[in-house]
Amino acid sequence: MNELFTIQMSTILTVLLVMLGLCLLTVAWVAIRRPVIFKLGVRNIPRRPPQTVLIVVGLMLSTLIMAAALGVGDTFDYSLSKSVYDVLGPVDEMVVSAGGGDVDPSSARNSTIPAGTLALVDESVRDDPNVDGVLPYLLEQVPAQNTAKGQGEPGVWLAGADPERLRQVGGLETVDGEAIDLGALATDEVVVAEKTADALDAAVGDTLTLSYNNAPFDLRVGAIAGDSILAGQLDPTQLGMVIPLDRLRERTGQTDTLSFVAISNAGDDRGGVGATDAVIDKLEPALEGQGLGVAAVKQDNLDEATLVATAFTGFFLVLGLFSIAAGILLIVLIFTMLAAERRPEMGMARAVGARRSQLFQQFVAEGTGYALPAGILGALLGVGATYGIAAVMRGLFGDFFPIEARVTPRSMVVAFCLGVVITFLAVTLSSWRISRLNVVAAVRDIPDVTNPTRKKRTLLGGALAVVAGAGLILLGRDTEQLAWFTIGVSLVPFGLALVLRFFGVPSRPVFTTVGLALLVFWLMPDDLFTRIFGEYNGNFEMFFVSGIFMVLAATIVIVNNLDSLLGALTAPTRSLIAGAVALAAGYALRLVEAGSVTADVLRLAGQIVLGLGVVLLVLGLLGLVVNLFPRVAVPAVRTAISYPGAARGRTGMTIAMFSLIVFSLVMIATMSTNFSALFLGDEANAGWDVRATASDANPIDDFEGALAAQGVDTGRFAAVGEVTTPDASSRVRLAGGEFRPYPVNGMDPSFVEHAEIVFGQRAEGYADDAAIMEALRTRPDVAIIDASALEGNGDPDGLVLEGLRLDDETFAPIVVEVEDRDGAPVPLTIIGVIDQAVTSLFGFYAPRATIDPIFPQVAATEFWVAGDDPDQADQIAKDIEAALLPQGVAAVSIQDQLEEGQALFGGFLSLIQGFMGLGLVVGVAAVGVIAFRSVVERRQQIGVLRALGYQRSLVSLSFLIETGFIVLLGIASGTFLGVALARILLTSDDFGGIEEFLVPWPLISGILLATVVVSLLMAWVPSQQAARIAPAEALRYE
Amino acid sequence: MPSLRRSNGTNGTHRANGSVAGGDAIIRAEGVVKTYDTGTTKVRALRGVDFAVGRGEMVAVMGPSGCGKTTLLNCLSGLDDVDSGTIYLEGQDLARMGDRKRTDYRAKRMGFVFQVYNLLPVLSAIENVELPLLVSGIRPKEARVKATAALETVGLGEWAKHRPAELSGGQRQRVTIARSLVNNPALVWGDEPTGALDSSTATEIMDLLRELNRSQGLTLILVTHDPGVGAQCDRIVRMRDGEVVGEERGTPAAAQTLGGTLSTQVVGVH
Repeated sequence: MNELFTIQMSTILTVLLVMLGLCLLTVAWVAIRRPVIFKLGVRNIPRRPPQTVLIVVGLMLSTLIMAAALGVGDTFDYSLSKSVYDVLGPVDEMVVSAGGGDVDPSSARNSTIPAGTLALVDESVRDDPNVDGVLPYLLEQVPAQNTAKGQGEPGVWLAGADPERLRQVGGLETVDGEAIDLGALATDEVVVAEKTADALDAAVGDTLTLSYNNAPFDLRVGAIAGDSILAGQLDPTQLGMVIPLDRLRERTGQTDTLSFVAISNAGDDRGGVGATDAVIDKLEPALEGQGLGVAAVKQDNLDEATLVATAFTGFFLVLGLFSIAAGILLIVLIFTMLAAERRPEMGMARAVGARRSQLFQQFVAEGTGYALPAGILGALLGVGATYGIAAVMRGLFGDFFPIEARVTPRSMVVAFCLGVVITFLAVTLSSWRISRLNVVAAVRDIPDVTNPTRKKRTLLGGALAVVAGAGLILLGRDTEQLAWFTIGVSLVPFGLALVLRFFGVPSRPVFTTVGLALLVFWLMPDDLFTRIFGEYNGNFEMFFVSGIFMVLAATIVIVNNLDSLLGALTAPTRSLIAGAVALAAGYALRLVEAGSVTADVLRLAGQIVLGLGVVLLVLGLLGLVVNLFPRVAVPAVRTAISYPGAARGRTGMTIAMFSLIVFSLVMIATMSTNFSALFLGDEANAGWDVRATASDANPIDDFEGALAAQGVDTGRFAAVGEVTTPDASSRVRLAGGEFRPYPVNGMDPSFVEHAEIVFGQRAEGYADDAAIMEALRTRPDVAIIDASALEGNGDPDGLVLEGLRLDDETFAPIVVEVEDRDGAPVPLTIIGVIDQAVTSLFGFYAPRATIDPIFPQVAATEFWVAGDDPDQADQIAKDIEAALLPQGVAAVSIQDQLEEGQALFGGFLSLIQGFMGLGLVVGVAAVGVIAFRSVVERRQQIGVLRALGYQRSLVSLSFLIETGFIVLLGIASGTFLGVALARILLTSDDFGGIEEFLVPWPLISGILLATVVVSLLMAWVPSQQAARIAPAEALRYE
Repeated sequence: MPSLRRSNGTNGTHRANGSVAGGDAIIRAEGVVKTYDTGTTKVRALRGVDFAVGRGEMVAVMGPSGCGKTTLLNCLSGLDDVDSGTIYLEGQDLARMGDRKRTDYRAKRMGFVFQVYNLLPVLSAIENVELPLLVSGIRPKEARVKATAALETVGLGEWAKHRPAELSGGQRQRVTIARSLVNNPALVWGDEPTGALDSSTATEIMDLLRELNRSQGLTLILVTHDPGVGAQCDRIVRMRDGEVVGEERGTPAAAQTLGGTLSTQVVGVH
């Protein structure tokens, strides 16, 4: 992988190495010039081993996530590239049909080129030192059966290759590397690719029955070759076998055509690709005007592999940002706590002459002492995580291409440097803040006094935030970038809050208002946002930006009202009354009639107040439960809820950590569930149960007749429709525009008659879906298209119905033009856009009577079957495939196929959730650090509690309840925000506005329960330590 | 403090060996030995201490630093274990009580007043005071009423919602006293209860303790350096090097007459 976020990896590596060097030089300078300060710093590291272990574990997580993300990229890069080299072998370029000017190597499967192309290519590269071989290939997809073993495959590529030319580029080899001489093959023999042999359970000597043009013939397996294009396997998902070209020509009668001409560049399989540009430059002039094109097939596939690898790395990194953000919070938290612990010591050091910079240097030295081993550990564990992710990916995508874990040393170094530099910067900032202490207050260990300088800094910070926010708002408006605009809008209230604080306005009302206002802003439904602020463009980065700001806002509200929230537990009646009032107020606000912006904002505020009311009611009820156990629960809860409120900084950071990670997990889980429901809904299969595909090699004229002839009971069929796929390289354009590749399909009258298609957008004049179907039955000039052609919903470089978006309901009929075989445009009018819930239909659909004349040659015909009993779909598919296997018909249950696809998607999302769940380790580590620290800090207080009559179990319980409260608050906040944002997105018009929003409560509950349990287990060890403290000893402790 | 019920204790008649005549001892210790093992050295903190306090008595344990006063308090109150010897609390052998029972006993029958107040900084004054009640299983509403009454007794009714950091040293110690009394204890332990206070506040606190002892028959055992505190007690037990080396009667009346100047004079003598 050479690029990340469009920056060269080598540049990233250089910059990071320089930054790391600067960090280490800084520490080295302290070690050499201030050895005492350095020692004072690093000697703290081994002082408390459990705490040090937790700190290192917490710090290493950022590195682990980055190493894993980069490792995933390396794995994809390596695996895809290897797959390209394995499949293409010596083939670097392919000369194929270039209908309409597009050069697509996959067209070799459906389109042919004149046999004279070979001579043309030979002539062009005759004396070219860059070329060491030219290979003509003819392909036909045929069914194959190994009758003896009872195995069959409906579609296997039977390739014809020139044995002599094949030999010149290295020839075929068995999987063990032994040469196979294709020319020496007996006339009734075939060389089978390894994957095909596995699929057919075929061994050398087995007889395979193939069929062409409905005429069966037998071939014996003469040898089994490695999987490659030379053996007819066009890509890792396909099956192939090869015989000499002459024999295939003889059998198919295609004597004057080829499928493609492969070119092998000089050099080995990997080195030859360097000459691709030179070879193409030489060939293109000769092919011009012949309807031929040369595809840089190896180079393009390698580029695509890199692109996919980079995309995956970016994807994993962006998702990992939540964990990285939580990791940074943990670093700040750890150092803030270390500073609190050593405050008197630091005050004393300052009192006897230590400079502020020396305290700063001391912390930086200590921080580096943690960061370096954490970086190494993180990078190593990142490699382990990569192997784990690769194993899961192999299970999911192994059928498409082999996945082999690979991490380059460069990725490890980048992750290590990035992890150490991030930690160093976080430590530096924390240390700078820590070192600014009031000496007297620190020595006496009393709260710091606020001095005028600090107040001025607050004012300055506030003013800067307002200015920066305003600047970002303007930038966002200029560039129409949602991220800049929303960050700007979020910064301004923070700045104003700081300014108000400078003027002495109390903290709680100011920050609570800011937090609630930001929540209203970020939880605003899409249409309301657009009405107030206008249209902006946002991409995947908004997931992270919105998560950060919503969590920040919610945490601010929680932390500034902790006493009220937790006080509800000890004063349940008050809480219940307040909750009831909030519910009533929220409900009243929801009654405001929607329409105006003010009304909609009030309704949104009502929703938030309703949520608050529910929280208060739940806490009140919990308080009632607590009061049922006065001897144990009441005193334990009393102490447990008091400490978090007294240390709002650390409580807030811990809540934010859990909230961030839980938010991302819940959001992904909720989106995944709703997409699954959407794609597997009743509309997904358009009213059909089974799809059977027949290739043009063995056309079937009478589908039901052929089945009946094989004894299949077609009485179970309620309806059968046909859809033809004329040409894989069909192209469509908006009238007057540029042709774009788009799959074109022809529907026979029975398909139109019986299909149950739901339309997301209908052309004006068509009142309902039935009207569209009626037009398709009666008019030859109308068509329908799938939702991926809508603007902003598919490939922007493909066919885009400009101006028509998912949130539209009607449109003026759109005239498009389909390119016929001669390149002439045939106009058709789109009258409906298939709803994206109909996931079984993809492409452009028009009546077959219209499409057949445009594309006389049919590549494949799909037979769509609706059964009397949909539950029998799988059996019907099996029956069809068994009966028509000799004709190469492949049949699937549409529902099963959709479910398999969804299971793949779901599996990938589970992997993503697991990856993001790594961030929970940060939260759990934070819980551990805080709990261990609390035991030390409260040692004397624990002695007092024991003296007052707290049993050991009560001390322990109090610690666990305290941890539980913090974790639950974080989890509740993250869950609420995750579900709320998912709901806003999924019900927004941009996503087509799903009607029934689903929340995967069982999955969410599982995640949350596991989080709570692991956190409590982490807190259990220190809680036991606390319980074991001898009261007399603790009371002496200072 | 009308809500606090107290037995009508009379100051017991005691013998020179520290036992209480008539068997009305609320606490009795015999041959108590306690050694601290630091790994490299062993420190014999208590070397066979005999000690007894009668119900309603106010006793001061005095001696130089490191003589074992606080260790004696910790051992007798069940906060620490002893190596040998026996301790009877209201007739019950402490050694036969497990940690759970001892903790229960402390919650219901003892109160503590420490030199450094030892209030929980995260709780308000009233919350600190009601903790012993909650841990004894008293319902929160009832606990709040009793805690309020206790705070009023020590003159801090209006400071109930304040946290310790918002109170003066004297006020904090009053809160500690209120906390030690709120559960109607049989016995209150004080470890240098005036050690962190200025002289006038110390006098104020001692007057309060004395008054509680007199009016409610509260048994008080105070570990102190301060002869002024000792002088206000019924009896002073002297310790040196882990042993009780003698005892004398206090002069509460004289001490009261001396009023606020006593502590200052004593500090001068000391």
